[in-house]
Amino acid sequence: MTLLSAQLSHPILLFPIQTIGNGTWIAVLLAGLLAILLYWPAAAALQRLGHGNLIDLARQAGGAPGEMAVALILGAALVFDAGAVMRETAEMTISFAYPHTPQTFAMVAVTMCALYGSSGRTVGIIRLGRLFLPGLLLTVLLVIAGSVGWGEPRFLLPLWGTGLQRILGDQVPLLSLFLPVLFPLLSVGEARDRQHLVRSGAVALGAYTALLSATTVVYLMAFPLPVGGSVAFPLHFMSRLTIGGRFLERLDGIWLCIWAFGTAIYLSAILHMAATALAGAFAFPSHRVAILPLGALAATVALFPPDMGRVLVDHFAAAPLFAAVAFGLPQALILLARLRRRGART
Amino acid sequence: MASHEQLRSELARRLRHPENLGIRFHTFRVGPEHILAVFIQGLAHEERVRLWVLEPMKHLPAAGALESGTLAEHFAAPYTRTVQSLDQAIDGILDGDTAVFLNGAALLIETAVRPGGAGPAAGVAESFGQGLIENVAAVRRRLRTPEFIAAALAAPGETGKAALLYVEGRAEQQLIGQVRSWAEQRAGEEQVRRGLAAGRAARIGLLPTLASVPWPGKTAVLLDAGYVAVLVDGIAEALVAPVTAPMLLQGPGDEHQRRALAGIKRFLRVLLAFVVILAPGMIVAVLEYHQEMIPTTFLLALASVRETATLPIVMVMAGLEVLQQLFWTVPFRLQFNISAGQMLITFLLTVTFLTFVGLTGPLTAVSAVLGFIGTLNVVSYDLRNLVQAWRWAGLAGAALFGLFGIATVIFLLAVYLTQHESFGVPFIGETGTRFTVSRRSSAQRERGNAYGSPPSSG
Repeated sequence: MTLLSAQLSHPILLFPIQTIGNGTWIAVLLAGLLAILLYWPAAAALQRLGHGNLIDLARQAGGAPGEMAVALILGAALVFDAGAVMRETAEMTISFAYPHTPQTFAMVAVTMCALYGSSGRTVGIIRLGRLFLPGLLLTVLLVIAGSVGWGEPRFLLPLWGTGLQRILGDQVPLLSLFLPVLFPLLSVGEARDRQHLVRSGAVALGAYTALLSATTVVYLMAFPLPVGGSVAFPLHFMSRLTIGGRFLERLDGIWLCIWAFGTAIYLSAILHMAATALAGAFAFPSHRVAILPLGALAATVALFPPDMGRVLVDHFAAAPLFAAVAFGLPQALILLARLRRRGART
Repeated sequence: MASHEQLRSELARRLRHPENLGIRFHTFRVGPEHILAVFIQGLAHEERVRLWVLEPMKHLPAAGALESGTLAEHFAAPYTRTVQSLDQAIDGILDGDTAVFLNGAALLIETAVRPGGAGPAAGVAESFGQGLIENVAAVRRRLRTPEFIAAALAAPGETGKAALLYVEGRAEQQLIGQVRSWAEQRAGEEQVRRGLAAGRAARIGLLPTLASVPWPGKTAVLLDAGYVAVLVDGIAEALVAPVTAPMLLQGPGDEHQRRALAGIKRFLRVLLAFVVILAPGMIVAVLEYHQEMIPTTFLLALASVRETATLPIVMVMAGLEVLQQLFWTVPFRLQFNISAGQMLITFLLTVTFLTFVGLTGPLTAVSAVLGFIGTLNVVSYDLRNLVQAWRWAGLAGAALFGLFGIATVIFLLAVYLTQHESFGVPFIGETGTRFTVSRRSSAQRERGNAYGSPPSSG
């Protein structure tokens, strides 16, 4: 849940709001339902697999070459996503709190957190998430509650935005919001209670969908279109509407820090997943071997685009790829593994 | 009641003799009969046992003249009572009485040490003393269960210098084995005392392998919750494993509080620990990077106050940190006998003087004093070290990058703490709940008088 809620502070909804308009929250809701429908069979199949994860399923489906190919695809997608999120976090921090500081400075801090966080065991990342989840949720709910009074319900009209066709058409890029579903799929082999982990994944997807949808509704009420379609970091703009009374004039500095925890956990988990996938396929002695190279790669990816606009465009352009990796790949592997088993029997 | 041999073996089984340290069996032959005296060292007053039990036993009349019903008449103890069952006898032994068995009858002679009085009890009433047997007894007195085991640690060439403490059925066998092997390895390295004390902190990291607990009451509650402890002769503290967050946050006497109140106290300790860690860094971050967070009038007031301070805020805070560290270490190095209150007043006067001469501002001075008081409130010595180390990290993070720097430091600390495991038990985490300190401990289920059975004339 923390991995998912960390994305709340990222500019993920900028392009959907521009294309779908007021109907974005409905599109998010539908994408969430679709994500649960696609996640459940894959998770259930992995649960039945015994002590294995997505990489083991890839071995069953395509042998050693298939396993390596899947690990490389997963690794590439996750490193790209981590790089984009690193850059977005650094840009957000610089633009909101430290306008005179070079962004590489923020990059160093973010990368350091991601490297240290991902170097531990999976259970450590889960504990980290559990530790920060109440604080993260509380701040998001406070921001939502603090912004409701500034909004006008009539700004939500027309309810379907630019039309039902766009809502349905943009489902694939929106599915990329749920990329962290790979975490339970890759760590299910290590879990003591596999059923609990799989169920938690579905609950987290549902809760995150509801939270993201509610945030979008309040945001669109407070920042009506076309203004709302030009804001890169919606939650941060909403946080500026929340006033802390006479003792704290501006709370967004504190929110920024708390959300930085969420981003750091997200990046830790993403790098951990990439390292686990590669370590499983290429028989590394430990996933730690891959952490530093992958972190360096992600930081390089993060520094590659010349400006923030380019990062946003590239990140959104890669959204269908992320959706394919998160939901298409597990389904394809299940199908291939089944076909292969059937072929072996006959 | 069964024959002498059967009785002896049943008692040995129930009291885990001879594995259990401090359980003493004395057998005398009186004609064809055997008379058996059982007591626990440390719980029973040694001089009383010698004068009231062992000496009279040597001069008992020969068989035939000795009747079990008149046994009490042969002992000159002021309080004795006859008990009917082995359970009652064991209860009495655990209270510190000496049980004398003859011909199927049991006589309890009150020999219990009364803490607070003279003799060996004085040193074990509230905190641990120097002697191993007295320290084991201080824990045993609070647990009062035969399941409590104090097993001697067998280090090569060294015996009777250290004991492994646990409650059977509460502590996991795997944990007991791990701690035993860890302690025995270190105990064998050199002298037991130095080997164990140094070994617990020798691991590279912010948390020790075994936590130091200076109170028998807290040790008893932890043992009852499934922890394992090591006591070393000559060291006035228990070394407890596994090291977990709930254990470090529990203060002395929490087990006697109501559950809600103890919970609030623990929460306040966590909050205060965070204040102590973050206060210097927060002041630097807010004043240097995030002035928009402060109300304008307050900011103007701060600006006017800061005019008196001649040094940059980061240097002032770092200087005050060094001053605090000196206050924590110098008196101990010079072996000054100074109380915490005296230390606080001296620190307060020093900081006031520094403010007066313009080396610090009022806000930084208040923060330093709060930090000092907060550090005093961190109940665990091990946690205090962690807090002090991370104050510096928080200050460095804030100086470099304001609130974002502090967030980075907190995240790195959180990663360390969530990944840290002690003997396979996470410091913070889901399985850590097995080791949360329960108030429903046997220390709370004491029956009757905790320091002895009700007196009866003998």
